[in-house]
Amino acid sequence: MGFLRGIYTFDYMGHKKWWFALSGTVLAIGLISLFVRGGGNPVQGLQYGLEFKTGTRITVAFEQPAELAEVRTAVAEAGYPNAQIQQVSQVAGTDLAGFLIAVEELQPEAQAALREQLDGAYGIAVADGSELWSQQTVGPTFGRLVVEKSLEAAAVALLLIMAYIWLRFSSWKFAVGAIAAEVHDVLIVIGVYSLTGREVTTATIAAVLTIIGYSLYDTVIIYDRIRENTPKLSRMPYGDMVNRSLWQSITRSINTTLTTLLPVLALLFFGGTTLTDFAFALLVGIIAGGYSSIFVAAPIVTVFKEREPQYRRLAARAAEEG
Amino acid sequence: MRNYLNVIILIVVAVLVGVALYFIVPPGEKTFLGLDLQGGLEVVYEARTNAGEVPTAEQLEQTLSIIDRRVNGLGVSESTVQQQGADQISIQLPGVTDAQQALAIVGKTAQLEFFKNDPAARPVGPVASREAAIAEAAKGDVPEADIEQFREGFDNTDDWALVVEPAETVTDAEGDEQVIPEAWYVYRRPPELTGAAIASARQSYDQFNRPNVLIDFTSEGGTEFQRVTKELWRDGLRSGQSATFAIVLDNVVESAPRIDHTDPTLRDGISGGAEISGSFTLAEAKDLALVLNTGALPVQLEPIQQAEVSATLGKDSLRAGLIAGIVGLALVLVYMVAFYRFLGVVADLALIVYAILFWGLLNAIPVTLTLPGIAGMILTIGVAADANVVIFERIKEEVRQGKTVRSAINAGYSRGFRTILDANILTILTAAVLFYFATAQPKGFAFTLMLGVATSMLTAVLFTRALLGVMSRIRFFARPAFLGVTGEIAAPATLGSAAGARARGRRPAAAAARDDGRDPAAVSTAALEGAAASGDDPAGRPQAKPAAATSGGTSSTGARRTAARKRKRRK
Repeated sequence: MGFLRGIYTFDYMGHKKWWFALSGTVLAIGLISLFVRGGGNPVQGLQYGLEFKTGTRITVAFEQPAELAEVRTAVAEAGYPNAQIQQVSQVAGTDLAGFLIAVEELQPEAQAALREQLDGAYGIAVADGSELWSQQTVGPTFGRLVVEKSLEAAAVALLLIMAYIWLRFSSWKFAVGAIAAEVHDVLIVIGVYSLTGREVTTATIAAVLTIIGYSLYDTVIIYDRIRENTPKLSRMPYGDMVNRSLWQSITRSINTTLTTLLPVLALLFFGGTTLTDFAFALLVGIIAGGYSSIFVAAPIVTVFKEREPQYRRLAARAAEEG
Repeated sequence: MRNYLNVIILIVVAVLVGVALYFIVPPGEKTFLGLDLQGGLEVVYEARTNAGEVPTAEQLEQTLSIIDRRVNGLGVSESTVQQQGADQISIQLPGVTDAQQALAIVGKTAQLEFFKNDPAARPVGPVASREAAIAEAAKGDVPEADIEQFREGFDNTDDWALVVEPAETVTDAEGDEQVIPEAWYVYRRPPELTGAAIASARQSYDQFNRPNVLIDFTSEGGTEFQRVTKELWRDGLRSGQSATFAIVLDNVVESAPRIDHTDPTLRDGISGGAEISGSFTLAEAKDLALVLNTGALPVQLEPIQQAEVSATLGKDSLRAGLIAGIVGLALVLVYMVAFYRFLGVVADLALIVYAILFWGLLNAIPVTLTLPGIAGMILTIGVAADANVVIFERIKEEVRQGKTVRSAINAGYSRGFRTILDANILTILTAAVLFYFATAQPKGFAFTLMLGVATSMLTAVLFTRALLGVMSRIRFFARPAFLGVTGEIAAPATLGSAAGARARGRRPAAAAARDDGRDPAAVSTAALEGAAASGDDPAGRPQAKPAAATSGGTSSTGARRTAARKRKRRK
């Protein structure tokens, strides 16, 4: 339990440089991953989901048993040698096994031709009077729209958050600390997605935007305590005062993070495909958010504040006495 | 007096829970499920004018209302047709199983045109391919600009239309099947008649009992149709060969009726209605009648995103979401009790009340529940618990500093509330931005998140406060141990007795000393020094320990200084 007690006595602000170095390293790893996986273009360093790509995804079940390799050959013969084909144990809504075929965007005639060819070879299964053939086509504009809108949303959200914190804590120093923590959290989520090669979907983007809002919870808790302690402990060097504020608020920082992580974990393990996507991004973001409120936001405020003349004097006096 | 207020709040919450239950029970029947949970079809269309430009706001609005009518004609309940951005239309059709059919109806431009088939109206055709038709048109009097548009893939310009007559298999007199290949034409606009001339259309059968579509014209349209057919009859008489006209729907020749010039009854043209008889299946004829009735779209629609969810998949997703929600809630309930004991029970009650109120609210508004919406709901469970964590930690802190349970509760709420408000406003702010900017899916998530965070303020703050306020009047509950605070209280905590109530406002000794010394942690620790850290409570113990454990480092400065001041006071 030494560690547990330690968190209430640790000199967090005395080790600022270590935290900055740690965050910097993690962010750098993420960035390198983006560049390496993107072949020099960081935007390409993520696995984008179907909604960001131009293409057609077909789900089909056949009457005749078909082997993956055979279907691949058939699709290639139809003129799509680059198609991605996957066997699925159960086509949604049926008990039949089938295939997932992802090809570049198909024109209606090409779709019909492919359908006819596969029907001729294996016979497309029929259930409830309709053929088990469904397809999803996405044009390039939709993905672009989603990304554009999300970037707009993120920018507006960050500006609003900045303004609100500036207003509530009457200092731009707090606002800068909070925004830095935010950007840190979002970049970590992006980095983790790049490293793990997880698919980025619209759900992921919504989750990231939510993290922007929620990860401030802990930051606000700590800021509040700092604000409360500032007049009370006005003779203490700023870093010590922040340390004390952290000791006093760390239990609730940990508990608020855990109480939110519990439902997110439930979502991750029981939620099914789409919700799992959401939950994973939230999981990474919430952990990063809990970390960054203590190790990014508070130290940045301290760095700025310690430069103010009154705190410089206090620090000097403390060094003398120390 | 405060107590009356608390009792009233509890009664109001109880009533609200009752109302919410009314909206919930029987569960499953009163919740509107989104497409992803129910199964169905979602399409996003991009709208373009004939010239490939972004449509005007007016055109888009018109398109939306026409699509709305078509969707209603499909008989899909709870469908939504929404504008998205400046030029996109998103359509959700829950429960639709035949996606192809629905798409054919909803997105069909349904531009109906009647052209004469004479060289003036149809300078090009029949030729075998689109390219051939364009090449032919370039030689004639179609301007270069229009040809350019055709080459870029557009079939329509303001003055010309590129039209195809699909290949057809016919059975000749000997019973042999013959394939008539497709043929391409270029027609000159404006046509003799458009869909605007139609008053109503209905599916019927022709003399061979094949499905067809009968059209009734408006009075104006009827006059025009009569004029055209009269002219055609005369053309036939003049050339000695019956003239034909083409009924073109979205650049496809649906039928090309012949006006028999040898039939004298047609000499004044055809009055009344018209018949479109292609080789329709029954369903196709019905669909055509539906789109003709709702009118032509002023724009072309290109599906840019299309997703089908089967009903089974939807049901699976819903079950997974519910299980995740229940497990998540259960985990938080257990955690709160494990950590905050009696306070945890209060928080758990609040969480359960929250879950009921929130669900009831979603049903009552009603909010269509989507998968991302479920994620939003589950996340708000955590946010609701957070509020209680903040408040309870504060209460424990106050109790440890020697406040009575009652005044600690008051202080905990009034101080914790500001933190919670700030944090929740920031979450709501971000969700609102997300709601404003996002496309359909994340929108549902953002909305439930906003609604949930707002509701959680009611249950986690107002409700728990009232509950604790009432309980702290009862001797049995008004013990620090009930708050999960064990064995490290600065000054003997007064029980929540009448004396304690009066003591409110007056400061207990330790609290007064704290203000004096300007260093609460140091003072409370000084008071605690030597006190056995007894509790098995992981939260309480460390909070009390810090200064005692800090023999070195920066924090000791404060403690030492306080000690010095104390000595001075003693002199």
